[in-house]
Amino acid sequence: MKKLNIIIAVLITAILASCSTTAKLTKAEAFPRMYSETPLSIVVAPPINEVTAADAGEFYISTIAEPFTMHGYYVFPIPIVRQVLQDEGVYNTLQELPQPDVAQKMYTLFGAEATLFARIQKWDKKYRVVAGSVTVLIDYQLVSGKTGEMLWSHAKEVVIDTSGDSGNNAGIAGLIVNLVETAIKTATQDFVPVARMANSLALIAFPFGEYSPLFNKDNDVKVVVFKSKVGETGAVTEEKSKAEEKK
Amino acid sequence: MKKITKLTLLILAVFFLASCKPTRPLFYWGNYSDAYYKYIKKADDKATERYKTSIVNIIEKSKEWEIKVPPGIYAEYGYLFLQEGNKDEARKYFNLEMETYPESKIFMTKIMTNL
Repeated sequence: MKKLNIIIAVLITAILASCSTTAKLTKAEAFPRMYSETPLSIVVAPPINEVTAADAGEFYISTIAEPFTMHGYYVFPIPIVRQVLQDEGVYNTLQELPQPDVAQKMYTLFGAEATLFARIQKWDKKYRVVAGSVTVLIDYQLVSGKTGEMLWSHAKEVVIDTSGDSGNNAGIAGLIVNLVETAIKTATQDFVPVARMANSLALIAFPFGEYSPLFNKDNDVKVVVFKSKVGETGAVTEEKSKAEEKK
Repeated sequence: MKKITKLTLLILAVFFLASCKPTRPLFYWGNYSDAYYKYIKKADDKATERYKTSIVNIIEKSKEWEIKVPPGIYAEYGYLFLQEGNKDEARKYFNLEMETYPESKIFMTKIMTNL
């Protein structure tokens, strides 16, 4: 019965995929391989930077470990991985995604059960007189090192307010927003909080891993899976989806 | 139905426990991302020191809060010692990483064989 549900859900998703669409699924239906493989360890591959902001890659790399660990995953030490890949001459050599063979190599090399790839597609800073914002689009792809299969992917444009006005973001992730505001107010040229926010939002519906008390308890949580004409894809929580509809 | 009851109980239990003990995050990361970003942008003495302080602070705070040191942090600390030429301390922290997170064994072993 459950299988049939999944098939129906997949069919519906496939039919609707031709246009902009959303579908309500459980997390286990949305990301079945995450729940069948339950990867514990993640290695972060150097991001592919497609934007003119040269710093974007560094903002990404310095903020990506934290949210994945907070979801209960082991993330390999970023600085050491970076150095090892540089020594091997493979840092910043990725040109396109997906890269199942690289993920499988990371499994043999580091024992990483999954590799996180990313393409930074937008990092547009807008300055206004009293406020500002950064439009961020990162295409995240988590690939299994064991099978080379895509475990999870997410690509959704987010506009992050750097003005310190919480009006727009209230209720999304209150605590994080507050942290972001504080940090932005104290360091004007610092976009670390923006990257933190973008990564946190991308992981809003991400399944919890073994170190989280919610591991294997979020299977039936409903999420809104979306797919847009411009290639955006991923899932958000129901609350987040409702908040967006209201806008 | 059964699932709902279970979930309710779980939520109640969480609330109950939360009232007795201060809720701690899964991990404490302090100002890591900021310190690390500045370190990769400009690895001068000041940025390196700040990055190192951030790591020490994470380790101390985690102990104080009785939570696990976040993944990778012991290894990063060890790596800083290695860059200073202190191989013994480096090895100590690589081993600590491995003990805390057995899934890092292949990687840590690989790094240590080159020491």
